[in-house]
Amino acid sequence: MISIKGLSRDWGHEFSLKKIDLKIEKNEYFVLLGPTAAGKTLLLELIAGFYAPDRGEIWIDGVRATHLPPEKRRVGFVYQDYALFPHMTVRDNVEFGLRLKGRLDAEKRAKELMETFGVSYLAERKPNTLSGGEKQRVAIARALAIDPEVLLLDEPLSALDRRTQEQTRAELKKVQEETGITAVHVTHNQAEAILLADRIGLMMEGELVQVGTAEEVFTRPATRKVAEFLGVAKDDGQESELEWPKWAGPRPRW
Amino acid sequence: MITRQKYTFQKGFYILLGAVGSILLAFIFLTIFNMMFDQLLHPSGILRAAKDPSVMNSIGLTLYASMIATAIAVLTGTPLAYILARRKFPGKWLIESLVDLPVIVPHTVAGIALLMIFGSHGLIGKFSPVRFVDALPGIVVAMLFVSAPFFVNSAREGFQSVDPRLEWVARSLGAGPWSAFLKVSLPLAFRHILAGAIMSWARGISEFGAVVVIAYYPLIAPTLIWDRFLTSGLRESAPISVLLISICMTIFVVLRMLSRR
Repeated sequence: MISIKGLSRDWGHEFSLKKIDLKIEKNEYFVLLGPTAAGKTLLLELIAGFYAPDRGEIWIDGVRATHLPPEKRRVGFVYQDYALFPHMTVRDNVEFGLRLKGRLDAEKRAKELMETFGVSYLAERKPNTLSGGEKQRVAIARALAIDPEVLLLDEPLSALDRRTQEQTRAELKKVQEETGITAVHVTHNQAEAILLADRIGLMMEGELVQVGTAEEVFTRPATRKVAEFLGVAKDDGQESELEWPKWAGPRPRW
Repeated sequence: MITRQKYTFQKGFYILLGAVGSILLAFIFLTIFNMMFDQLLHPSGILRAAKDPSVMNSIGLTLYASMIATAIAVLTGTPLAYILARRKFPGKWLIESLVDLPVIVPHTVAGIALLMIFGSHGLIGKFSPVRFVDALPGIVVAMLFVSAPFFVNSAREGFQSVDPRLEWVARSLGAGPWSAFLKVSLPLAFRHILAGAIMSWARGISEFGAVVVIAYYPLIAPTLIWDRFLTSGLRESAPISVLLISICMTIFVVLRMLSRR
């Protein structure tokens, strides 16, 4: 469970976070949705402890984590471009966290994870020889290796081609359900949010403007700006067309 | 047709740039290789120099002293380079200017400044148990002063080229700041650090002005060459010069090849 209270961080320009209050339940798949430069990734990086907030608190699993360094927070982080260690093989990437923890079963556990994510055959390769989808799976395996409480995903699908995206999206949801991990997933893609999220948090200009299920957010947008971003704003009584991608299946009626 | 025209335009453009640029190349090439060819055509001078123990000793001393200076630059400059690459703080430009200062200070001035602090009445020299004036430590500090900026700047570039998010991910995987530095940042910046060390070593070897002020003796190769030039002219100094740069170029070609691998 993640509990965020009055979290602010000022970068002196548009990328500022303003008084974020948010509670994410255990085992929840939470999606942070919003346009670019809304501060979604920064919020994720604050949860991970890569930056310190100016004000406010972060609690992870009942522990006050506000001033804990990242290595004490038990969070796994997957970046949009996966940030694999380029000087290490796939195996060494996956084993990295396990070896630091001094786990004796590091080799075995890494092997299991690579099998789970179907990257065993890449074990001795370097990251720069992998495709986007392969890198993605290695990055998730690496993050999950240390059994984190929380999995933080920064636009994990946006660098993938459409077919890999569909497949990976399903895998992500499956992994999250099987491990029961709390996932926070950042995206600007609405369909992705609808398909994955237990709840959606809408971020705009550094503020968390609305939190709710997909249905709540899309049928009752909190502000006009939210409605416009979601493409459901009423204009002269005419509902504007929300572009619904074909691959997302039939458009729900709400 | 359009691509063809574009191509010819580019071709002319690059031929022109190449022609102008080759003036500079020819200047450097001719200067160095004219001397080398001149000596290699009559190798008796080089052979005599190679058999002269004072010549070989001074070349050895030069390489050795510069190696010590480079080791000090690596040990103290790497942390500095990392901070300069990673942190923003007020007055950072001042620190950066300070690092670059030895590049713009005339080297005789650097030597005089070094003599004033490391000399027997100087701030450090007064209390130091080791003697700097006319001794190996004096040569080392002079080389360190002029070569440190090359190392620090190269290492800083190296650390800047490492995405900080790689360090963050390492931290989230359980690495403390030290192991993130040692396992991620340092190996990824290693090439730049090595290149910086090679540059710094080369710069140290080529130093004359600062060294000659604080430590004329023991003679390093550049000082020896100057000494022989004053006493016996080109006949004596040119062969030693060729010998020195031949040895240096061989070492650098090997090191460069090793560091590129």
